Formats: sequence, C-alpha cells, structure tokens
Amino acid sequence: MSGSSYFSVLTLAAGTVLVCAVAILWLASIRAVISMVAVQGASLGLVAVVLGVHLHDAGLLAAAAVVVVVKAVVIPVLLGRASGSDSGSRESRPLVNVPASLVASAALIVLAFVTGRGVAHFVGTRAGALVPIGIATMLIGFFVLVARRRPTFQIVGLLMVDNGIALTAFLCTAGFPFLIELGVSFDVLLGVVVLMVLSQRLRLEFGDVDLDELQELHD
Amino acid sequence: MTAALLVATALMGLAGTAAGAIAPVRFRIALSSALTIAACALGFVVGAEVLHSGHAAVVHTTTLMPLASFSLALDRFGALFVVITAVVGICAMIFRFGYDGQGLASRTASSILPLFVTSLLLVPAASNVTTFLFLWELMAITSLLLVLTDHARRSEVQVAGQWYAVMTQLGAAALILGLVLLATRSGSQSFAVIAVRSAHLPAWVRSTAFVLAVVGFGSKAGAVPLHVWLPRAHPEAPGPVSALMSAAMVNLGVYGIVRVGMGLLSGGPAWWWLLVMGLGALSAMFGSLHSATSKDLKRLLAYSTTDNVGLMLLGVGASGLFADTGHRALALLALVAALLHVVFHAVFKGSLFLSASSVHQAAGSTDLDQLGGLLRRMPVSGPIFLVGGLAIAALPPFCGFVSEWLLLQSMLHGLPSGDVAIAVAMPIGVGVLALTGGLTAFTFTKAIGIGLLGLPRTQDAERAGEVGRPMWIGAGLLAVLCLVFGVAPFLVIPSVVDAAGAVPGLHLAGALTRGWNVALPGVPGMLAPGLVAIGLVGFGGLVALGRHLVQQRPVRLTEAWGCGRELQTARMEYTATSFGEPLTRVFEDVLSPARDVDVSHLAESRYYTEAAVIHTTIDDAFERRVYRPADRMLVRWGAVARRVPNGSVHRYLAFGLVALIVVLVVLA
Amino acid sequence: MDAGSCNGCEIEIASIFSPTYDAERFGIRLEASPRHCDGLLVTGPVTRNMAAPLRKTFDAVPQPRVVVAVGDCARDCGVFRGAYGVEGAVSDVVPVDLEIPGCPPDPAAIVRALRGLAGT
Repeated sequence: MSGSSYFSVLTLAAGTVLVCAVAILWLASIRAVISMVAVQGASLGLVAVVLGVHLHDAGLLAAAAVVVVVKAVVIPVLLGRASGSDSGSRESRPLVNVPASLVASAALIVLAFVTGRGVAHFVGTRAGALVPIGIATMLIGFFVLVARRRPTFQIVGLLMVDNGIALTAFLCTAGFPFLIELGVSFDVLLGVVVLMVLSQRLRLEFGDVDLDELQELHD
Repeated sequence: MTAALLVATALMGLAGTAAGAIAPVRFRIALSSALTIAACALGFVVGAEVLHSGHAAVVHTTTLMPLASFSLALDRFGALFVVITAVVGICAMIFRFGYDGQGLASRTASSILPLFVTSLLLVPAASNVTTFLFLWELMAITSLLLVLTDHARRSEVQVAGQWYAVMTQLGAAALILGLVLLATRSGSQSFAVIAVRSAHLPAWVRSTAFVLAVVGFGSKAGAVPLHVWLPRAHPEAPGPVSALMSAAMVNLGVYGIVRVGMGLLSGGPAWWWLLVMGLGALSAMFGSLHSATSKDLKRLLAYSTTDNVGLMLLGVGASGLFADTGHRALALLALVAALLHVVFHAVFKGSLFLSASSVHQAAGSTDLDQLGGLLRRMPVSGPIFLVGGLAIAALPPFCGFVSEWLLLQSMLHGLPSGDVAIAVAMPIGVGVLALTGGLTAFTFTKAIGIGLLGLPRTQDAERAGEVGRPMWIGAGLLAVLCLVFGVAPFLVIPSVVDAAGAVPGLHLAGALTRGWNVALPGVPGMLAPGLVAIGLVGFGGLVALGRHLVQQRPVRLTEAWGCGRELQTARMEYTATSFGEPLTRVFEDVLSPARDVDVSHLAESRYYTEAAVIHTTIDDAFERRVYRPADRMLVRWGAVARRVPNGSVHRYLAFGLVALIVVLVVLA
Repeated sequence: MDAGSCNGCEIEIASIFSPTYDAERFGIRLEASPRHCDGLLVTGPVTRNMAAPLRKTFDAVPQPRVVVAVGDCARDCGVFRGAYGVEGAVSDVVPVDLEIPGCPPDPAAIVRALRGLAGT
C-alpha cells in the first residue's frame, strides 16, 4: 500500500472511532448505541490491520484479528442479549443533557489535541500525529461513564475508554505485542461480563434503576 | 572501638526488646530491665569515651534502609546527651524492678520500653536526615505506646494519648518539612555536608528550616505554645516512663534546636534567637505559674518541666544572640549554662518523677490533697523527694543552684554590650529567671509541705509505707547525684564545655573551672560551690553548737501551742489549692480559674442548705483558647467534607474525570 | 483568757488599756500568745468545753507564772453557779494567785490589783 493512501485509510479509521464515540454520546436508544460500539470496534481493528500491513508485522495483524473478534463481535452480542430483555431501552434522563454533552465532548477533544501534541512530537512518525484521537476517545468514554445513568451505558463508557487506550497504543508504538493485546482484550471481555451480570442482578433486585438512587448503600 | 560499642548499644537494646516480648512473665521485667541497663551502660561508656577523646564514633551502613543509608556519627555534643540518657535510663530501670504498676508488666510494654530507651540513646548520634527522622519517629511512637499502657483501666489515659499523638505528629511533620527542605536544597542528606553547604543557601530557606525546626523540636521539648501534651501525658504514663520522658526525651528537643540552629545552619540573624528566647521566657513563666497552682503532683512536675525547658531555651537563645553579635566568650558561657541546666534538670527531674511514682505506689494517689504525713511514713523516699525539691528550687548545696547561677551570670554579663537586641532581651531574661526561681521555690514548698509533712489526709495516706528497695535506690541515686554535682560541679562542667565547643559551626573554646570553683572566662565572676556547701554545713554546725553552749535550762518537751484547741485533724491543714490561692488570685487573668458552686437545698424548705460543693478548675489557657477552637473548626470542616462523597457513583467518577483533566492540563 | 464569761469583764479589761486608765505605763501589756506571757487573766466560770483549753493555756505559760481570776464568775461562778454547762470556778481547774471581785470589776480596781502583782 502506498504511503499516502496508507495514511488516508489510517486517518479514516481513527476518525471513525472518534465519530462513533461522539455518536454514542448523542444516541439515546440502546440498540443504536450497541451498533455504534460494534462499528467502533471494527474501526479499531481496521487501524490495526492497516498498521500491520504497512509495517509488515504479523503480530499486529493477529492483534487486529483479536480486536475485531472481541470488540466488534463478541461484546456487542453480549450487550445486545443483555439489553434484549431490557424493557426501558432508552436512556431517558441522562445526567448531562445531550446538547451539553456534545459541547463537553468538543471541549474534551480540544484538550486532547492540546495535550497530545507533545506526545505526537515525541513519537515522531506520521501515525503518531493521530495520537490525540486516541486520547480524545478515552476522555469521551470517561465522560460517558460520568454522565449516563444506566448501568449498560456505563459499560459502554468503559469499553470506549479501553478502545481509546488501545488506539493510542497502536498509533504510538505500532501496536502492543500480540500477547498483551490478547490479555487486555480478554480482561475487558471479562470485565464486561461481570458488569453485565451485576447489572442483571441490580435490575432483578431493585428494578430498572438509576445508579444514583442506590446511594444509601454507602457508608 | 567506640563505633563497635555504639552498635553493641543498639543490639543490646534490641535484645531487651526481644526479651520483653518473648520471656515468660516471671522473668520478663527482670530480663528486659537488665538488658536495658546493659544497653545504657554501654551507651554511657561510648558517650564518656567520645567526650573524653573528642573522636567521633561513626557507624555507616547502606543495607539497613532502602534508598538511604543508616549513618550514626556521635560527636561530643551528641555524646553529652547520650550520657545523660544513659544515667537516667539506668536509674529508671533500677526503679522498674520494684515498680508495681500493672501496665508495665505486659508483653507489649516490656518489649517497647527497651526500644524506647534505645531510640533515646541513638537519636543524638544520627548524622543524616533519614536516620534522624527514623529514630525520631521510633522514639515518638514507642513513647506514645508506653503512655497508653494503662488505657484499658482509665479513660483519661486515652484522651492523654490522643493529645500526645496529635502534638507529636504535628511536630514531626514540621521537622520532616524543615529537614527535607534543608537536605534537598543542600543536595545531600548528611548533616556534615549540610553544615558546610547551608551557608550558601538563600536566607528564606535557612529561616524557614529554622522556624520549622523550632516548631518541631519545641513541641517535643514542651515549649509553650506547643506544650499542651506534657501536663496530660506525664500523669497518665507509668513512673519510669514519665521519668524517662521528662529527663531524657525533652532534652532531645533542646538538642535538636541547637543542632539545627547552630550546627547545621551555623547561627543566624538575631530574630531567630530572639524567637527562641521569647519562647523560652513564655514557657518559663507559664510553666512555673501552672505548676504553682496545680494540685496533682505529676501535673505539677510536668509543668515544672515546661518551666525548666524555658530556662534552657533562654540560655540557648542568649548564646545564639551573643554569637551573632560577636561576643564569643559570652556565647560559650550561655550555651554551657543551658547545657548544664539540661544535665542537672535531667538528674533532679528524674529523681522527682521517680519519687512521685513511689508516692503514688505507697499512698495510692498523686493528688496532693489526699497525701500528707509521708515523710514520717516513708523514711527513705521522703528525704529523697525533699532533696529533689531543694535541687529544683535552686538552693545550695544542690546542683540546680549552680546551673541557674551560671545562666544568670551569662545573661547579666551581656548587659554592657552595646547591641540593642541584647540590651532589651537580657534584662527580660534575668527578670523571667528571677520570677520563675521564686515561683519554683513556692511550688516545691507546697509540694513537700502538703504532700510530705503534716497529718495524712486520707486513709490511704495513713496506711502508706516505705516502697521496695529498687524503687528508692533508683530515685536515690539521682538524688545523690544532685548533691554531688552541687558540691563538685567541676566533675561535669569540663565535659559540658567540651560538648558546647564541639557544636559545629560555633567555634567556641574556653575553660570554665579552676580547681574546685566555677570561674567565668573573660568576665568577672566566680562561684565556689564546694565552699558554699562547706559554709552552709559549717554555719549550721556553729548555730547548733552555740545553742548547746548557751542552753542553761533543761529542755521540756510539750506540744506546740495551738490556741488551746484539743483536736488536730487533717481537715484543719492547708490544702494545695488553698496554698496556691493567693497566686491564683494575683494571676487570675492568666490562669482564668473556673469556679462552680453547687448548692442543694433541703426538700422541705428552700431556705435551708443541705450541701454546698465548690469545684475550681484551672485548665491550660492555651488548650482552652487555641487548641479547642482549632479542634472544633477542624471537626466542622470535616463534617462539611463528609457531605461531598455522598455515595453517588457518578460523583465519584466525575472526581476521576476532573482529576484526569487537571493532570492533562498541567502536562500540556 | 475568756473561759466562758459574758464578756462584761473583757470590756473592763480592754478599757484599762485605753488612754483613760493606761495600764501600759505600769509595764502591764496584753500579749497574744501565752508563751510570751508571765501571767494569765481568766474571766468567766469555766465551762465544760473550756476546761481543757484552760489547762493547755496554763501549761503554755512559762514559769514563773501567775493566774488572776477577774470577776465574780471567775471567783465562784457568780450567777452561773450550778448551771448545766459550768465545770466550776477557775480555782477548780488551775491554781489561782489573785482574785479581783466585781461583776464586772471596776477598771481602776483591776489596775490596782495588777499593779500590786507587778510591784509598781
């Protein structure tokens, strides 16, 4: 693949990750959100594939395969199944309303680009210039964690944080070694499974409830 | 060789700790005390050898603590303090053999006491910041645990422990800040290197470090306004522990101020030393006032420690002031006077605390209003207590007289110099010394008169008997030293002069003794304590002889004229409160006694009183006006802060996000 | 010493030290402590409570000592003879050297009697 088209495809894939992140902030229906998560996972896999092909790194390609399988297929399926039984499948009253969330996400992206500049200089490669996108995804994922009430959305936020970190790692260092990526992905998978089980339990115990209403359990 | 002995001291102390932890209860006290005595003896030998020869004992190892080296270098100045601690430690441990206090026989106390003594012995030897702070914290924590030994039986012990813990950690925080500031700015942890490089540090670094050191060491020494833990912790601690705390631990506060101010920072601007003198004067007056109006014996002794620490700080401040203005001989004199007072204070205060503990064991209480008639019932401990009281009241032929005379002389002879600061500070110092001297005499007249003389005020006092031999031997050894040092101070003064001259940074030298007398170099003034003692004894003998010769009639023994009254009970005697009442009245603004009258009437008629009870309390003005309001404010802030984490997961996550953003902004 | 009197004799004794009678010019002085005295002036009948104090005060006066019973009550209990609280006359408790009769005796009489004792 020639240099410029490699970089364009890379930019496209990384940009798709970011766009999915913002879209998740905007969408209210959980089905739509899960689809966006799948797309984001696929884009991340695409980034890894492009980098792997460009650098002729088989490990990176293998990592890409893992990423695609876990993040674009397995997790969305699990989430879909869990929320299939979910009666109220819309995020009705987010903690921070949608327009405000979008403004906040814009601010976070700016912040990510400002801080990522230093890292980009340090890394030096052209791929390194896209590092701020990874940081932005991570920040937006964190924001979703903070600003959304329902447990399922918070799992999504966690996933986005992990995606952002993985994207940053891929761009900085031309990927993790395969083993580490494998380990991280399975960790995330496990985390998601556990969280889903917990939220099922919560739903059974307290009904479909906002996490904030569980305040009295604290000391 | 001295280095090996230093290591042996530490190891012996650790062996004592182990013995206290492991030994079965029958041998526990004996074994741990014996090993601690051995450690103190070794420490004494090291200290004496270093004082005599002038070569420092150096121990340096990098394996003991991660990231830092454990380094001890005992110079003459530190050796003086090691010797003091060793002597007091030996007497306290001898005392402990006979001490019946319940708490000290436990495994915890028996293992921690040797550790405490070992840390006291090693702190003056520390020669880099990490070692010093490690040993300092070890000393603080072990002493806290020892203060708390009785906590299961009495609730006041817990409160006292809380106050002590907070004050000690506040002081330690200030110390850590100050020493670390010095170390990072000088680029090295070692005291020797800091001493050399500190001259090139900017003035604000030096002053900040000095003020922090004064706060930290001052709180350990018990200087006002950081003294509030002293009158609370000492009465609750068991006897040998309070003796060690007052006679060995507070000395280390003075050691620290001199080591940092004069040793590491090589003296500084006049305002440093005026600050020290001011704290000293305040402590002296406040401490002596409160001890004069206190009716609990141990609380009285604790406030008296504050008083004496104030005098020591007066001497140190005067010395620094003289050094700053160039009067080297006077600076040496003042420092020697302060250090001599440290030595003698350790001796008589140790004896007094041990005697107070004997009294507690014999009569069941240290409340003066419940004692009385003990001199007759405790024929050995009573006179020992009397000797301690006379020594602290600075009466010849005991040692307190020599050190306070020397302090007075050093401040008086500073007057002819032209410096404004000196001209203002020295007369105030002299006045404070005179006032506290008078108040101390008053205090110990009260303590001895009401506690030891007269009729016993309670049944327990009446049943009191002499305590076991180890107890009066321990207290008595120190009392004997009071007398010996009072008559022959030349035994101690040369060592003290050597120690003062060895403070690195202050190059002082001189001799203070000429044969049996104390002579001041460069200034007119001389004291012959031996002659004073001989004179006193001779005068007393002459009076007795004269009376015997002049006596013509046979002597008739009859009761003293008591206005013809038939019954003499303890209820008719002075109480400690009434003895101190004129003083309380005069200093009412400072002491602010709280008076509470509780009158209960007969059921039948409100005009007839059934009982009237009056409660007077004098509590510490600093505690009431500074510490309690600060405490209340902190509790209010804490209550506000508690409402912030309200259990909402989103709020916690938001904290995380905000923190992350802040970090990124800072990095950008 | 007031061993139980009605204070009438005390007022007369006090007035002998006033400028009108001025007993001090004869070398007669009133002292607070019996240890500084040569003699004891006792007034009133001796009540039961005051008997032992009277003996103690008498013992406290260094020898040679005199005891002067002032007033009728001190001589023979006066109007209080046989009362339930009265032990007896002063001579029943301590040896008496001089008696001054009267209820109360005239200050001049007291001065005259004391001058006889003092020899002035």
